[in-house]
Amino acid sequence: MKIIAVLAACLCLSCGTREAGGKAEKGRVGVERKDLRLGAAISLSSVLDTCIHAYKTIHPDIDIHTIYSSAGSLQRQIENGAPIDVFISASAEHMNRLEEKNLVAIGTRRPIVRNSLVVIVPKERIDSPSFADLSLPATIRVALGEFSSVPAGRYAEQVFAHEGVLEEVLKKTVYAKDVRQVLYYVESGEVDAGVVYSTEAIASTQVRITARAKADTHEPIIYPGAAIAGRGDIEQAVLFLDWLSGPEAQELFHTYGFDSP
Amino acid sequence: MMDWFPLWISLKVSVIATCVSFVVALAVARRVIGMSGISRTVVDGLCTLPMVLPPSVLGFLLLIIFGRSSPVGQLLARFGIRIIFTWWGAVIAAAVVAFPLMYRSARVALERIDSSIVNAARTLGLSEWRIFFTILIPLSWPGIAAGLALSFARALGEFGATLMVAGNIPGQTGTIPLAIYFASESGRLGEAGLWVAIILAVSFTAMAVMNWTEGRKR
Repeated sequence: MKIIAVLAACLCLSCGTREAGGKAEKGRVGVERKDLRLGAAISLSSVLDTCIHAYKTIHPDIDIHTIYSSAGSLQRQIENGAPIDVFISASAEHMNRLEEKNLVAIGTRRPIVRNSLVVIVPKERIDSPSFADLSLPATIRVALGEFSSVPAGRYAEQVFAHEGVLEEVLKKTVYAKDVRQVLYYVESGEVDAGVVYSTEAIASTQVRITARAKADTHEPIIYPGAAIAGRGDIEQAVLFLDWLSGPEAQELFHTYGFDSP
Repeated sequence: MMDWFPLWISLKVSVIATCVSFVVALAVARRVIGMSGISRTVVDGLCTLPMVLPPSVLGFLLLIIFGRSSPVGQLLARFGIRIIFTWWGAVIAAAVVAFPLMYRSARVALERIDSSIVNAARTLGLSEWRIFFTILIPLSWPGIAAGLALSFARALGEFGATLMVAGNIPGQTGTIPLAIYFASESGRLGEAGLWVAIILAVSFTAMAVMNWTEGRKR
């Protein structure tokens, strides 16, 4: 009996401290620490890590925890109650779906950055295929993001449809779970070409850009950000989003190859 | 209109993978029961390893072995054979994860056979091959059948290594576990649920067959 009571007490204690740790914790210097959970499209991972580092110097009391995945995957996680305070999607579509379900805090949505789409090939490959060329026999396998959960895949689908080669390209497509996996498939040389954001391609030394999609061949690639509704501290979330849209963060985005929206 | 391809490719991949692991596992198990000491420990450990390793580790190793830049990959490429991102990649991934289950079942079943029967056969002048096929296999059949059912079910459920090695190419390598993952990631929960029900039914049938053969043993 005694043992059970002790165990129960331990359990209560551990729950109690965890609860406190999750909300706010007195830091060593006496400032109240706050947690902000950021779910963002994986194509933003490098630049956002840099941004968060810079943000930390202005707001040392905020701890930002990041979750990077495909926008579709994050959307599903938020719908199922994942603890995410700020969501930055790689497409309007996934944000729209959350808005339809009233999961976006009203008035907090805004465009953050803009990106463009490119064809990449392993650097050993000699020729330089355009989007339309990927339907030709010289390319055996093409890696694309899965259309409904990876925005980069859906934008690529729009370009191929515009070029009139979608059907041929689909026959040789390997679907990846996020845009990083597309990049990895091309880097390893296991596929002959892939379609990723230009920022991903620039960051890799293993691939070469061979074509750039014209802006009128696909929806504009604008990353919307918003605070998620029903998640406590909306104020902190908005503060961070405002800073991301501001000149200091936009400058960081530019150094990583992104454009302002 | 439901696309039934994932069911057919899953069954095709699992059946071939089970056959491959069946032949290799029996051959290895037959060797291992004759071994002793450190060599036995090493071989036995290596053969069991795929069962306890994360599928991502297996996928990584298979990519290194069969990838384009590896010697094996380049040799196969000379004959126009590609393993990575083809359904043969799915077969290899499934065979590797199914192998330990087949191997362990076969080894235990073979070890249980009374060695005096085998020795008697040898003194009567039977060849080792004949002993294997007419004495060892029939006597250990219930255990081997259980191993077959288990390894088939495991091959059918393989996801991690398959995603890395075969990729998700609908109509070519998109097995049921891949279809479930991508359907649920995309919010097509009805489709995912249907595939879950199908794989539950098939796997349960395999387990029922296993219990049935084990029951007959007694």
